[in-house]
Amino acid sequence: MRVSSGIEGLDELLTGGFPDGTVNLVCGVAGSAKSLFGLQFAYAGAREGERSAFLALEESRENVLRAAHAYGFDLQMEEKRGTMRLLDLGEVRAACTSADEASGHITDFPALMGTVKALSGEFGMKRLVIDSVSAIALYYPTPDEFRRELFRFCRGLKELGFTSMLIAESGKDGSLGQGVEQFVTDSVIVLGYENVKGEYRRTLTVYKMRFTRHDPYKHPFLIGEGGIEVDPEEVIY
Amino acid sequence: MKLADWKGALSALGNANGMRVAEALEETGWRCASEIARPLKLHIATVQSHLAALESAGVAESRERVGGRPAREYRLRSREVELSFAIEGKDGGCISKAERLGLLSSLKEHASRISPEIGARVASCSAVAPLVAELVRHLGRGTASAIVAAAAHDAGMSRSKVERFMEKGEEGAI
Repeated sequence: MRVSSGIEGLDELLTGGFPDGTVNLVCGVAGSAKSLFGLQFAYAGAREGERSAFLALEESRENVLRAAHAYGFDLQMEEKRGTMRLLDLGEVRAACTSADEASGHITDFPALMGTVKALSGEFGMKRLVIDSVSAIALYYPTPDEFRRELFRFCRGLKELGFTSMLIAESGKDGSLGQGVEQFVTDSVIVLGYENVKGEYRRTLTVYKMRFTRHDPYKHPFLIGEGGIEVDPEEVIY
Repeated sequence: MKLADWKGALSALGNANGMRVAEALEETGWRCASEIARPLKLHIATVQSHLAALESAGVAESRERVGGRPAREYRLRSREVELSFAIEGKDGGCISKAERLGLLSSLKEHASRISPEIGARVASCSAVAPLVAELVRHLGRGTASAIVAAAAHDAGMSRSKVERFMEKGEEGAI
């Protein structure tokens, strides 16, 4: 089964959408519309009556709602309808003292998995977005430890059965996320904001997608009134 | 309250139900045993015995009900009765009523900020333990623990103090 991305033009590149129950990574530099991508995915599901959860680890609830509102995504209405759950976990991180964070591992992957499991049991979402896993990387001293824990986390997500999207920052040098996420997730979508022949353009590339054929080329996308719109016909070389 | 009275008060309040009865008295004015027993789901005889212990310890006072059917009414002897007793000495897991209320309020505030839905579910909690249990149910133990840490920080308490308080059970710790 396929899960529609909710992003105009993208399902075409994915031959119908994300394979059901997969863990998908969306990464990009700052300002490349990663959070919007995640919001659009979650909101599209909620509007179709598919329970969707958005866990914000960095942005406040107010900021997420404000960003969503700018594109006509009425998250609060979906929350009232019971199809959307927006959790501001950044609130917890911000409120804790640094000593607590260091000693208690309060926002690491095991803690996050506890939240996801509780949410799955109580809310029963079909879609999950975590924005972003880069925030959690801060709690791991080495990429190896981060990868090990992320691997466990992704396994846990798959066992829970819903389709999930992890958002990560990538470096300006093109490195993906922390450099380990792409090995443990089922798919990798890279969003770029780059100079193409003297013109700054937003780009999207599906680097990897397990369980399905996919278009591997770099495509331009625009941010329109209703969010991200990918042009599946145009390719940037 | 005199120093000698603490022993009796500790004994009366050291019991979980005794503490619940005392808290019920604190929330309102004069109340008789049956009015307290019903919401607490305790037998009226149990409540009567705790009320007698509280009165004998000097924590509560009683009077004959004015009007209506004859009954004995109780209330806390003074609004200044502080339900905080140094059971284990310095930072030994006991927290004061004011600290507990501060903690409750801060926990509710954090829960609402995380999600209004979860905030609404914990809004009616009048004790820390059930509120935290609700947070664990919705957010998992790790995140709930983080919220407790944040709330403890807001309430000017150490996280370890709150954790000990919760391990012991609210009533037993106070």
